[in-house]
Amino acid sequence: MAENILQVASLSKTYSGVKALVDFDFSIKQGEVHCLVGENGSGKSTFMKIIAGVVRPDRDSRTQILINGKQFRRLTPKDSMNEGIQVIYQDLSLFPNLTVAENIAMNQRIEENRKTVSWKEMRRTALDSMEQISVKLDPEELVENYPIAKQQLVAICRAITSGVQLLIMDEPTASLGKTDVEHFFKVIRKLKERGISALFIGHKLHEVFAIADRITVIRDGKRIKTFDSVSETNEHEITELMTGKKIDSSKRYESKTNGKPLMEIRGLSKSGQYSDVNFTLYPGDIIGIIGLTGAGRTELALSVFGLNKPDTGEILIDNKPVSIESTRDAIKNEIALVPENRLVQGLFTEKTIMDNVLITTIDEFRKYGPFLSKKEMVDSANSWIDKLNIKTPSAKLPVKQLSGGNQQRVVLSKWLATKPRILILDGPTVGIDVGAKAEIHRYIQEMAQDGIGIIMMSDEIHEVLHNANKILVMREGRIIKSADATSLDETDLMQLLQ
Amino acid sequence: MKQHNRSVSRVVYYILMFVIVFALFSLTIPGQFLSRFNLQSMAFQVPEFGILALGMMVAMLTAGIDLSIIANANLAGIMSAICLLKVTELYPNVGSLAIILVTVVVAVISGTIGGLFNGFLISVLGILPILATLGTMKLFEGLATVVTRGRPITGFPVEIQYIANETIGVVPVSFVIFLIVLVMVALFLKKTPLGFKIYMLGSNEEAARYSRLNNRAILLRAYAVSGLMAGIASIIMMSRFNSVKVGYGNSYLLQAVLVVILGGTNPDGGEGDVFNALFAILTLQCIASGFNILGFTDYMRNVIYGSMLIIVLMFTIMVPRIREMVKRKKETVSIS
Amino acid sequence: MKKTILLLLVLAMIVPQMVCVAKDRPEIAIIVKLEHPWFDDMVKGIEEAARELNVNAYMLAPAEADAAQQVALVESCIAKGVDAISVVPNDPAAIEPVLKKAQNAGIITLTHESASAQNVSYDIEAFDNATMGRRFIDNIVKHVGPSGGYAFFVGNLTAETHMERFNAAVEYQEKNYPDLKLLTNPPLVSQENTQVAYELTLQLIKTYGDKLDAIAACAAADPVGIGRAVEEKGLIGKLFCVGSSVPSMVKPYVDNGTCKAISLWRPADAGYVQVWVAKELLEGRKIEDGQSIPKFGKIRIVGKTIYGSDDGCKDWTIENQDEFFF
Repeated sequence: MAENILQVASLSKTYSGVKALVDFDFSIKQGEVHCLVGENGSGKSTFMKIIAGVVRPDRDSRTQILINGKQFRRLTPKDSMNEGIQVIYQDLSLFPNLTVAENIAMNQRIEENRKTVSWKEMRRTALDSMEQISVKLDPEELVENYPIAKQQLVAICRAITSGVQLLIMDEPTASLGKTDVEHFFKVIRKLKERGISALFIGHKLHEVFAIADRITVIRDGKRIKTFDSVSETNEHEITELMTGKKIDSSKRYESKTNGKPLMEIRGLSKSGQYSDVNFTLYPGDIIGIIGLTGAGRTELALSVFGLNKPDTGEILIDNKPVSIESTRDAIKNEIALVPENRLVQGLFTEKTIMDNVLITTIDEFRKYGPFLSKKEMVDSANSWIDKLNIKTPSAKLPVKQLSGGNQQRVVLSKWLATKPRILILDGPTVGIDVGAKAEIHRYIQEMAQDGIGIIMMSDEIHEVLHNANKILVMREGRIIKSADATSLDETDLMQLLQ
Repeated sequence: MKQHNRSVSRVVYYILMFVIVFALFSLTIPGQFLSRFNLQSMAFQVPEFGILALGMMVAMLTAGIDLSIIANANLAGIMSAICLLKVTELYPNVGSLAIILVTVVVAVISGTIGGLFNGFLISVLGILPILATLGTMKLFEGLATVVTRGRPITGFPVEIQYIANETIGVVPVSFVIFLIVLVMVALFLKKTPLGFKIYMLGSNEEAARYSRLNNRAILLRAYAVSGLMAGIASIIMMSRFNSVKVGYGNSYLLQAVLVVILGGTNPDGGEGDVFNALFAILTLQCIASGFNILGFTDYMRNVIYGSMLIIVLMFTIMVPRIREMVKRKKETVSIS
Repeated sequence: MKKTILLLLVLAMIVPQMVCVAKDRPEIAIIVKLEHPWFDDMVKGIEEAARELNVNAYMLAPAEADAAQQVALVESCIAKGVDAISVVPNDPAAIEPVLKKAQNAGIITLTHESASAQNVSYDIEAFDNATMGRRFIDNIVKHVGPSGGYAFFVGNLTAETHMERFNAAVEYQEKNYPDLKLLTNPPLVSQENTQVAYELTLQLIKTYGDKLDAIAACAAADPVGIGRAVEEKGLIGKLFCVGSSVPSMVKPYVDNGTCKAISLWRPADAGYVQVWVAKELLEGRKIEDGQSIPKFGKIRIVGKTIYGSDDGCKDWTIENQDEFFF
């Protein structure tokens, strides 16, 4: 059996009274891929930071940290690096305006404390490390000119040149497309062959299952369970362990559709984005449009919202053709959009919950001549907080202090306040914990049942399968399948997306 | 204790800053600083600069800036002066009310048009505010120079001089005007839908677009308000100098930016309070007058302004952090 | 908390009592355009006067040359309760209202370099342009002798001050030194531009050769262009330049002998006289036409303007160049 490269026992960390990590035990063997899964705030980042030497654990005589058989009382970033631990954070910490070679050779040069630059040497170092994981990038190209997936490889190469023994990565697949993920896994397997261990922190379970040797589930700072082999468990079980709740995944959303079509899309095309999109939305419908990043779903959503003018095609509302060229047209046609990027497009993160909820309807609160009625504003905000069960001590809390799930409720309430007839949701639960996800889904279904027509864009099979009554599969800008949700199952969708 | 919201608790710091500075000068040079003359002279000096600072603040709330505000004010003053002199030339017996009316209306319209032009460049053509207003600053200056050949226009009726040189009781007329403008700007920003939208747009322009706000119209109007402030300030400047000329008050430009930031307006937009700005303006005036009495040079004053800016920026960064820590402590206490 | 602060604030506003500190010496503030070597020299004169006349006189300068800043400084001085204010204005028109305010507060007001000032007791000028024009001729005679040829540069034919100098110079020369010859009439126009002055000088040398002995120049930039041309043509010691400029601009040409004398008034003298006049007025004395005063000599009063005489007009030459420099 392989040696443990890293072993910790009874590790705790308390942040001004909040217990982020409680008596945590963990180990990684040489040459294994170990995935640490848990909801946001479960303590996985804290653990990662302790291992990186950035965060100091609580003082406790029982605490043990063993790396390569050496005992550490506490780690500094330097200790951690000297023992061959390299952490790649989500932002990759690259220098976008330097070349690939410069980025790769950077760490090594700092470690050796050299003051001169040898371009030739740097280039060789870069090519060497790329060779090791069979990656081909132009060492002279600026990092910013490569897509995220390639940048990630640069970060891995940099770790290799620093003599990595244990590679820790935070949500490495978060912004990768399907093929990129596969390529990434290949790289990781290459590393594994060379005896390098990897610790992944993540929450996309099907990817975890594709790469992990062992899986550890963490919840509320405690280790819940470690599976020594992926065959011992399944996604369902892991989800339940992560949330601590039972989840029923067999049901489908049933639309109580009646009446006339609300919106009809006919032959909508925009060159380079999507082409010949057709579907009809009835009140009470939830149409799930599933497609991977780059499939054209976000562009389609923006076109229906007036922020991305299509080239050809027709949009009919109540059987009448309409033109939606600006967000003002969207207001006129009672269309709302919950955008994909919640923190940038969906919310004013610095502003209060009240401000965010009221932004779409602020003109309605003008009561005294040109002036707003503060009281009505507060009342309205509070009523939305109640209605969507937003957990906050006050409507005056900045939304940046809310959890992802509560933030999304704020976005939903701001749009529900406009009483839309058509609601477009682009990735409604991206980055939201499994538990909160279920509740958001429940709201979406309730809204549909109240007669709103909902179009839900997503890249998560489960989300679409269990919450939509119609499913459109989008690939490279085209609808390749359109069917009732009941006629489809997970494997069908999986195959269509491949 | 009643729960304060953020802006209320902030203003306390600014009042405190003002009181401390005021008290310091009152204690060190009581006879001269606390004299009626000095307090009155401070009240004479605040208005024109204060109104310009308010205009700057509105622009900065949208995450922009209005570098043309002084040039715009000078141009508005020149337009107004030309019209006024024409009117008094054509109708020598025109009444006081008409004189004031012509001056005010022309200045306000001219300033607002200047502001709208800025807004057009920024919102419709999408030019960066700092570049657009740098351009219009030179444009307004150039226009004004061409019109006046760089010479001052002078010789206004006594009614004009009244505005910035007389008092109602002990309070200068211009200071009363300043307070009225201040309250109106405060009401506009905090109590009208447009004001609300300006804050939101400044906080996150993209989210505003996704929230179906008409960003162009909002920006256009915000810069128009900035220009309106330039117009109002121009009337006071015109009265105070009894003349108009290109380049008057050029030194106010960076001071206005300074005082707006000192007053807690976030240069990234979306945050700022008129009353905080008021106390920042008053504080700076105390320092200026106090130093003058003490006989310090102007450069010393710049050193103090600079240091204050840095201290305030440090404060605004540190205070929320400290508060966060205290809050966490409290929460853990209540949890356990 | 909020209430306490408000209370403090209100108290601070009410408490101010009119405490008048008895002042032993009269306080005189000189407000200049900005911080500049020119005004550094003026301070010397102000300080000298303060010592000799036993007054509290000082200079204030805004950090930027802006009329608004000067107005603010005058405001502060009024508030402070000084006894006299003298201003060297950036924009003469802009300070009139505040000067009026100062007068209303019983403060003596003066200006310097602002002959059109209204709300003042006097404006103070070191000399009139005619004096300077005559000085040009005297300087030419001093270095060339009573006979020879000279040319005259003005910045522009519309520049009144320059034309006054020119006309006075010619009149004075014709009357006293008839053997001296003005080679070009009307005067040559340099457009206050060094390059133009340089080219004009080259042309003059080409046209007149030996006949040209001296050039008198009105604009500050001209002696530099003239000096360069003279140096290039190897005429140092044969062709001289006199005129008005600033020492720091022309120093190299004074050092190498092309510029014999730069006529100007000394800021220190103007500073001294501002304090002196203020003190006289504060003590209730009158300033009278024809009176002799320190630094400026026998003065002339035209309207509200006091002009110094020949004494006010100084020459900056290779011999006395260490005395002052700005």
